[in-house]
Amino acid sequence: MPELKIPDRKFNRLSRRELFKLAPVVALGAFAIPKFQQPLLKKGLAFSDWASSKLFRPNHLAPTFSNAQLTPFDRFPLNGYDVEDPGVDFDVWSLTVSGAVQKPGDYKLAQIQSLPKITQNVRHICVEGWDVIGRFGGVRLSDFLQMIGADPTAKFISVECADDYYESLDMATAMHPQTLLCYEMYDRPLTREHGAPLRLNIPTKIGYKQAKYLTDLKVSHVLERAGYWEDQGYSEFYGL
Amino acid sequence: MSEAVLEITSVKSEESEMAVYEHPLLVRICHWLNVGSLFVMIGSGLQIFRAFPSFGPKIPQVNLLHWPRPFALGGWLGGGLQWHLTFMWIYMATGLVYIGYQLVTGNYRQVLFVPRDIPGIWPMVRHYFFFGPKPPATEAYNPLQKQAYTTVLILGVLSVLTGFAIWKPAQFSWLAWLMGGFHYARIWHFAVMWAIIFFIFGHLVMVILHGWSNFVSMLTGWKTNPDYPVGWQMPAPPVATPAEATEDDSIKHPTNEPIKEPIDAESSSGKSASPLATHDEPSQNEQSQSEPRN
Repeated sequence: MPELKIPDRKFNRLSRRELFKLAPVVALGAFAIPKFQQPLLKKGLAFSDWASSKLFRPNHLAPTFSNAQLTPFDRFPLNGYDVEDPGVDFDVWSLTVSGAVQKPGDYKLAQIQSLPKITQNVRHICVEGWDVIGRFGGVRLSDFLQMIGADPTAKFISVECADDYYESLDMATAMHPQTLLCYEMYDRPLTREHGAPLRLNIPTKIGYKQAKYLTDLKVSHVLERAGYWEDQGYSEFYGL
Repeated sequence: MSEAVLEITSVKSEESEMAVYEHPLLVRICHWLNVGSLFVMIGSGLQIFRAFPSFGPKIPQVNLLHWPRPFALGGWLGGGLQWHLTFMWIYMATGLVYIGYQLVTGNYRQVLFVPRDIPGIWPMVRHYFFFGPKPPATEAYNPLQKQAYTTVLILGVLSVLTGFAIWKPAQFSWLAWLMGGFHYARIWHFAVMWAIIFFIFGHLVMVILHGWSNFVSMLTGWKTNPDYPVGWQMPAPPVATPAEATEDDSIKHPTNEPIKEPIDAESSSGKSASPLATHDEPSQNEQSQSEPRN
């Protein structure tokens, strides 16, 4: 069967041709080139964020837990980026609301607490990899957004904090029923280190999004600053 | 090349060798994409692990092991996450393409471990690790190889599932629940990684031990001098050369020993030159075994 016999020269050419067909794999090497590495990784992270936003379901609840499953309060870690206690003066504290809202201005804690209270036992996951189950009490951010007359077509919530930390939320997550303006932990008012008098509790987001010692809240259509950690290269959406 | 088996003739001498097309292009592309992806996924995964190298509580934190920074990819947690969350898409796409291709073409049959392969496992293990005799090679992948490549595919799928459970423990809460929740899913993800590392180590050892032409087959697709019978039989050579697979009974060899001259029916062994005459057990098919040419 002569057509199945080929001379070795022809086989070598054939083999070489087959080898070159692997060329698409070499494209992966772009990640090793310093000039392309950061832009490629940034695009990759942005793609992951986009996929995450598509996977987010507005009515799907994060798991909740019984009181028996709670991590003891004294084992609930503190993470800060600057100081643990920025020395908030509770007498003068207010949440300054601005942006695409009908009723901007300063909101005192009592006004916020007049909204329906939600308590939830949820898992808090840190980007570092550890997790704890905590008990958080507060009001739904969606209720507060209604109170301030937030533009329902707005896309982002941005917050600023007493320790100069800053974060942002996509509107879909802001409207989620488990996203709380939280003022209690373990049925007690927040301690200073845990973000008194007001913090975010968002069981559908990574820990660093759940900003503490809130001072300002802004509703907008455009995102000005994603967040402290995001500006360093961490994920902007980081939905769980 | 549409033919799966070739006889390659040398221009300079009378010799020729067989070559079989083992690995289609897409399989090869997926293989090398995986080499790159797994390098990144494991390196960056260990970088992420360094941020909290423990599976216990945060308070008090007791680290499981210290993984050195030079052996991690990314330089810091943020960097590790960028690599991990970028390459996971390449890794998953490659896996889907590979599985889809194998199913659609039926090519999976040569590598999928099935119950029929179970009896062949121990002889291979004995041969590789306990100096047992080399079982006759009757197909492209021996039972132990099939077990390894099937297992690593399952591990690959598990690496993705456990990864999804820790990436999206709220959206995929049911998946995380199957694994015992986020905290445990993180442990399984880590364990699956080590199982894959173990496979890679064994795989590299085997690749090195099985020689250049075997390695080249994952580059060009072609393996020269395969040690198992291939589909097309070449006619009996006109000169006395060490026999390859042939339909001529008189030069079938009953053992695995490389032969120096043709064996004919009147050989001193007195055995009848049946194609099925072997020392240990009947061969799995009707063809004799071709021997690798040294």
